Amino acid sequence: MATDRSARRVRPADVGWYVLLTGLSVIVLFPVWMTIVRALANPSKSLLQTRPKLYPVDVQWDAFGKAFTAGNLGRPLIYSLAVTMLVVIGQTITSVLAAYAFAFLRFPLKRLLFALTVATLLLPIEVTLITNVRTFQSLGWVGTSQNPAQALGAMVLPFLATALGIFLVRQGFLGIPKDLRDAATLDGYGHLRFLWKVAVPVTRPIIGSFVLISFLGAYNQYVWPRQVITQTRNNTVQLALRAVAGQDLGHFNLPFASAIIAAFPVLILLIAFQRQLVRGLTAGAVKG
Amino acid sequence: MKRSIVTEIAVAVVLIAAGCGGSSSSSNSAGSGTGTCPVNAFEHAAEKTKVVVWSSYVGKVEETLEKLAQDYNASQSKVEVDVEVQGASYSELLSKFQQALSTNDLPAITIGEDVDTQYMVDSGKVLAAQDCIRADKDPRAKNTDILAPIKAAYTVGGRQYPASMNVSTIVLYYNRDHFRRAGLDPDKPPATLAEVMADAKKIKAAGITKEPFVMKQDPWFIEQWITGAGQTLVNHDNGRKGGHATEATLDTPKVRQIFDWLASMKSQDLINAVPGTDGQINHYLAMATQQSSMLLETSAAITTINGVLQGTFDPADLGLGSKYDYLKNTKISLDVGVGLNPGLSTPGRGQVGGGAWYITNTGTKAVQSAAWDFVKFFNEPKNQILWTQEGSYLPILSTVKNDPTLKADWTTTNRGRWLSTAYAGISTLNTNFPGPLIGPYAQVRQAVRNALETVTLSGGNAEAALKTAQATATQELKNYNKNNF
Repeated sequence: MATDRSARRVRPADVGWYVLLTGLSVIVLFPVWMTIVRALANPSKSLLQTRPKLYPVDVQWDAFGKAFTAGNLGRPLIYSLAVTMLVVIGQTITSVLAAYAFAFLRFPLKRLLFALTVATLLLPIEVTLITNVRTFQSLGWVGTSQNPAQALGAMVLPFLATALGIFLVRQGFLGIPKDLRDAATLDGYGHLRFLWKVAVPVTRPIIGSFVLISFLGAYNQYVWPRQVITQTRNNTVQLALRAVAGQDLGHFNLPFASAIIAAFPVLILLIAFQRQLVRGLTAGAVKG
Repeated sequence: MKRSIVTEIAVAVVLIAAGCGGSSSSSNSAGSGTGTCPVNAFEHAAEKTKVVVWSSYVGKVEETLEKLAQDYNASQSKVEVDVEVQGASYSELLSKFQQALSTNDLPAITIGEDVDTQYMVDSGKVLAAQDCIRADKDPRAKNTDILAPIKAAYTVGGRQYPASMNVSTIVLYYNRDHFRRAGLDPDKPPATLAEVMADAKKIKAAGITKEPFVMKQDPWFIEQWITGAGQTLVNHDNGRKGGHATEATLDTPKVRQIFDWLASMKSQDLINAVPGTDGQINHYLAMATQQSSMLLETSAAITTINGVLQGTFDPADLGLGSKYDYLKNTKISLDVGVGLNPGLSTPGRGQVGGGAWYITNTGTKAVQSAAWDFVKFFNEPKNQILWTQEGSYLPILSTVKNDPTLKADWTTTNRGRWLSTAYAGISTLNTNFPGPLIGPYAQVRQAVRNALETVTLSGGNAEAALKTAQATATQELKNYNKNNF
């Protein structure tokens, strides 16, 4: 009988892969580490270094507190999270419903409509930016007297649906075995029940990874908020970071500390949804 | 017939492209201004008048502006000023302003860049401050009697347009110790580009630094050198006479001389060319770490550079507790001096730079007059002194220049002496040659930037780079004249 020990024997090829992946990890994580180093270092002493050190000089543990205060990050963080959650919820709902229609329903021009939907992925935000800003200006939501509700509307409404989500979830739905659909139909499941009881649970990894992608996209936006937010009190955290980045040289550790604070929600989300992300990315990679 | 998904996507793309086609060009007509200003209208308004100020200031400058706005609000009950930051750079602010033009929902005051003057005038959406100065009987309006070179720079068609300005200029920061060690006089910074090269060679030969001259690749420096040499950037007398400029004048002997100098500095490894990106600080770090000996930069950085490089900071300024008191008055061993911007042939020549306060005319008369009232408050000597000291901007009013507090600061403190040097540069600018008025300044500047980076970052040919810049800038001028307003 084969023992666990022999099954887990490390092969020379594995060592090579681990070395390579470790090296790549160091390269990828190096900028993150240096951001932490710069955030914690005494800015005046850092300036004097002829070669940057790989560890913080004269650690300033209160850098994060100072950055939070100097950048007034509290309200922008909460506002960014609120906007992001609304966008994520909206995109998830619209993507699931639209994907279901494209995957399981029959209606005229279905293929053309799906092609049109996917084609919108070819348009970068810069193409539609001015027109969309004009739309909200004509609604009176982007002006010198913008209130928080108008700012929220301008931030959320354009992003409640996305072709990427529709495409990803549709692919997941198409992977549901036909036998399962037929069985559900025989059991008297209607569309909504099938969607909620079968389709969504089966494609949860894909939906989960899309939620992450949607979160990152909505949270990291800069160009759109810069155009539509006219009152400082409605700033998202990315706009607040931009202002902190303009601080003078004597406090250049604060922008680094602020960036780390702003990245925290994303980090927590990635850790919490790591398993979903991996499953979603590898779904369909192995034939079941 | 079964259609393929590829065909359908292709059809979809074509349909979308057709649907997105067509531009929504701005059709704002160019108002030339009526020559009137609704002074004091806000005093008869039924409610408090709100004045929104758009700025792109961050850090200490933004705090100072907020403080002044709060002081103004506390000093009276008819107007409320609300400062809103619309980006961390002039270009971001201009983008927001341009987006808002078509709606006429503009802030009462927008603090734009000096180079946007012609654009602002062409938009027809700003008041000419000259009209307010003339119409206002308030003695404080006389405080807007600004220094001649500054007024000349911001005068269009015989009228001063911005109601206030934040003025800065270029100065040369240099390491006096390096000069001393290289056998150069530390009290005599280079006055011309040729002297910069000569001094850089000596410093390099003495083994003190490898690339003695560090310069952020900002086209603003080139424009200053060009204007300082008495050369126009565009035709029609630099866009000031005979209508809008229609052609760039970049491919000219004096401009070529400047670019040849840059190419020569590059080929001899005398220049540390740092990319001119937003938020760039590597050029400061090069000086701080003594990898370079001379730095060209704005006078607005004087307070920061003095505080950091000279090491005269107080740990309390950084919010450090008492256990860091040992850092108090720590001397960073850098002896830094400030000299005038070296020119092609004469130092300290160029054009006024910085920001300008434009009062828009799209609001009600009450809003326009309230904005003017706030600017009058901002231009009061005591507030201008604060603005100068906190933001390192140079005084624009003669009354401020002669203020005893400022004079004392300028003679007894290091930072003050540096500001005094910078001010000497501004006050000797040629009033009859104040620099260009260009509508598409950002685009023309980009053409200059491309030429600069071609020579200093890519080691390209200066002559070819200038020819390209000339052609590009001229095309931008033509496009602007054809399409805008």
